[in-house]
Amino acid sequence: MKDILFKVQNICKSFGITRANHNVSMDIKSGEVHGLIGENGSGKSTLISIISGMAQKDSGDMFLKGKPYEPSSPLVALQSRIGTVVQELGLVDGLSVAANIFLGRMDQFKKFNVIDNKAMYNEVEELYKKWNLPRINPRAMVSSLTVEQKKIVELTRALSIDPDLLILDEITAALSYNTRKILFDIIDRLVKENKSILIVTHDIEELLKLSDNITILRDGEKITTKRADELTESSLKRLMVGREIEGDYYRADSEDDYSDEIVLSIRNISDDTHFKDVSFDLHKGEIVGLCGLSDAGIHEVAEAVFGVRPIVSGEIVLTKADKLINRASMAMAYGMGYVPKDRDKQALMVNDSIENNTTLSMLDEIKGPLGFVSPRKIEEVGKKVIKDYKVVAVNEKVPLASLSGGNRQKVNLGRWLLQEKDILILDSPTRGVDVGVKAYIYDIMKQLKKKGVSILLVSDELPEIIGLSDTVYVFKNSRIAKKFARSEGLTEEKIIEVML
Amino acid sequence: MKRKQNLEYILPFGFLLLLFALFSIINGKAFFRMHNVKTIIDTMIPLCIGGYGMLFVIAQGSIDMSTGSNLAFSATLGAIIAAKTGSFLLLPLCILIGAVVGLINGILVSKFKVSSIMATLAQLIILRSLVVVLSKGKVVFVSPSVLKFNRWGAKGLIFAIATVIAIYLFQYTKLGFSSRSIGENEIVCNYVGLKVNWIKVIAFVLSGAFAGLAALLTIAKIGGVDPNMGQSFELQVMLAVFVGGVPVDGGSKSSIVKIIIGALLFSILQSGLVLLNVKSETVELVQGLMLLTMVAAILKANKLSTTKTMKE
Repeated sequence: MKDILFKVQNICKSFGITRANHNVSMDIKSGEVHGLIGENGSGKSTLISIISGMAQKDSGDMFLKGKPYEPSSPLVALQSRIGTVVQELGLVDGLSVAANIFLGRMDQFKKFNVIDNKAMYNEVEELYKKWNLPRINPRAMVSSLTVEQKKIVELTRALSIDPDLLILDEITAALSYNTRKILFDIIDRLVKENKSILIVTHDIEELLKLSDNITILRDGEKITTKRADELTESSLKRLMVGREIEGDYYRADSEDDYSDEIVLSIRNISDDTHFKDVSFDLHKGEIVGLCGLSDAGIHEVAEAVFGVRPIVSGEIVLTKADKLINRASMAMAYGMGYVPKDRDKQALMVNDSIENNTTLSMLDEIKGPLGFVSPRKIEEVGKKVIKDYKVVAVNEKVPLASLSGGNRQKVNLGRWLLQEKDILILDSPTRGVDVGVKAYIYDIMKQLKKKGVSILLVSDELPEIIGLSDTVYVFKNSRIAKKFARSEGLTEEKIIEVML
Repeated sequence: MKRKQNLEYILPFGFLLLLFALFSIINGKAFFRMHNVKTIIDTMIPLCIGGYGMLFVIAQGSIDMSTGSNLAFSATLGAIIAAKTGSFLLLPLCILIGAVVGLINGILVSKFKVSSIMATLAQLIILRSLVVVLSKGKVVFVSPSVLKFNRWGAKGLIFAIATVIAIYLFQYTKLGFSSRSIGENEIVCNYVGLKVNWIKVIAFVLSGAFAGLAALLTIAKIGGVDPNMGQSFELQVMLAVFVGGVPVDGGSKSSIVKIIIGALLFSILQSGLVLLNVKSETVELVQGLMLLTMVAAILKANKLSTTKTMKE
């Protein structure tokens, strides 16, 4: 019997009338990986903010190694050797990587009252080495990093305190395949050192694989804690949602199936840095999946296809209009829609209303003569996106910041679907959303395919790529390494083999 | 569900009513005399017109510091050209010259990626010195027929037309919507295929054109072109815009009505204090304080209202 490292007892926390946590109790043993799962809005993130000192509990107790633990700020949590990687990015954009890692703890590098930057940079390099993390220049500004790199910086920060308890909230969704492997190695190592990990993820398969015990939350309350080997994917889903999830997650057919008509033709495009000599065709009613390691260039290809990223050679031909796409405004005008990877930075105006966000992508659709955009129409599309795509929101005027990630993603997708585009580029469409919304998005994609819409799916999640695509292009070193057609025998292993 | 009125609208408007009540009690009849009412409206009109154009720029999260110098420049150059071609051309000339200056600002900001405050600050200095060069530092006289624009009928009509155009363009067109969206998040606008650079240029052109219109009204009022005209006009316009509740970093909460309220606030405060024989330095002090209080109050109010919707 392992001893208990961290104990949570009857934690309650309310925001106004919303009970985010109600009588939640949980034990984390030394040397275990403890999974925490629940749908969007079930209170996982609230619980984690309380443990990591970012929010204060209303009532209840916490114990660290048997002693009462009351973190008044994230700094206190760090001093108690509880390191957290939060779901929302918790970094300061205008500071260097190293400054972010040691934010609030820079005194240790003081020399004659001045921060010794060099010592700090060296320390960061040491950390990379110690944990075998991919090196990110400690002098670089955080604002210049990609989402994945930022996550790595946050991870480095959490590891910099030699944590007894490492909390990972939704981190894997932002990581590519190879970085995930590094993370899993780190987890193994911590467990061997008898340290504990609390992990939150929407990826059920991964959670089952990683965890020893899993605590399930629903509507702010703890449903149960079970050993991972007593659970299966479906039993876990049932516990989370509280009912059976109907239908298949992925496509039921196991053969590729699309018309011969080419709608979009990508011919030898390069941007000289991220991708080189990429060619493929998108047919009517086809789902093309792009996958690869983090630096393989798949996300950049998606940006280039929509005309947001300039290319130096090659061409993107829209067959229907017989046009070369070189600007996003053109792609828009000829029936393409694009859901970018970073929802809150590239896709949505987070502080603006649902209706304005919806309108933004369909201005040309709803504008009248003289560029007239009627407030009535704006309201109409806002209402429609809420109704058609089951967005949970008070009304169409509320800011997106008040919605959960899954509901934001519904708005993000819905605003393109309202316009009946022929071609959709979906980059990581299910990133950070729960099973319910995930199943819903897959369902929509299957329906779109049936209607003859062509989809370019870019994703770091291989099951998603395999489960939905007709054709899969695997990228390696900025180029297409191999093409797979949908078939019964296409497995993750086959793809990974090509990727590495 | 009924739309909730935001505090950021109520605050400036409530403050306006408060000031109005305050001055009508202190100043009594003098405040309601025709002369005073006219002064108030006279101060308000150019502020509004300058603000209408600048709002497109501010909504996008940029700023146009060159408005005052642009006003003087388009007035001077316009008057010099009109003296040769005929005074009936003064109105279109002023607007055109103002717009061309705006076009240059716009290209600097969107094509050459100069930050708007830098580009227009440079323009503020450059244009002012050009004015002195062009006018040789002396007052340029215009044909007396231009004074007709200072009649209430003409002035009122110009103001009304400008207001209608501004409201239409800003509140009800793709241009206005895109401008507000750029202020919310420029990257997002790029990713949905808006021609962001182009929209930025248009905003500066409009800002310049409205400055040109304000130039004409100023010429008509003072009967000529003074090289010092429009000095710190841009600051007064900004004061009106921000006191009215337009967010400093733009976005979807920017609106034309807020400018009108802000300009009214500014001019009522000014005339009320002048009636009380308060020194002009003190008037400016009070205006500055008002700006600080209002911006802080609106920020606070916005925070309250967002946390409220979050909880809903």
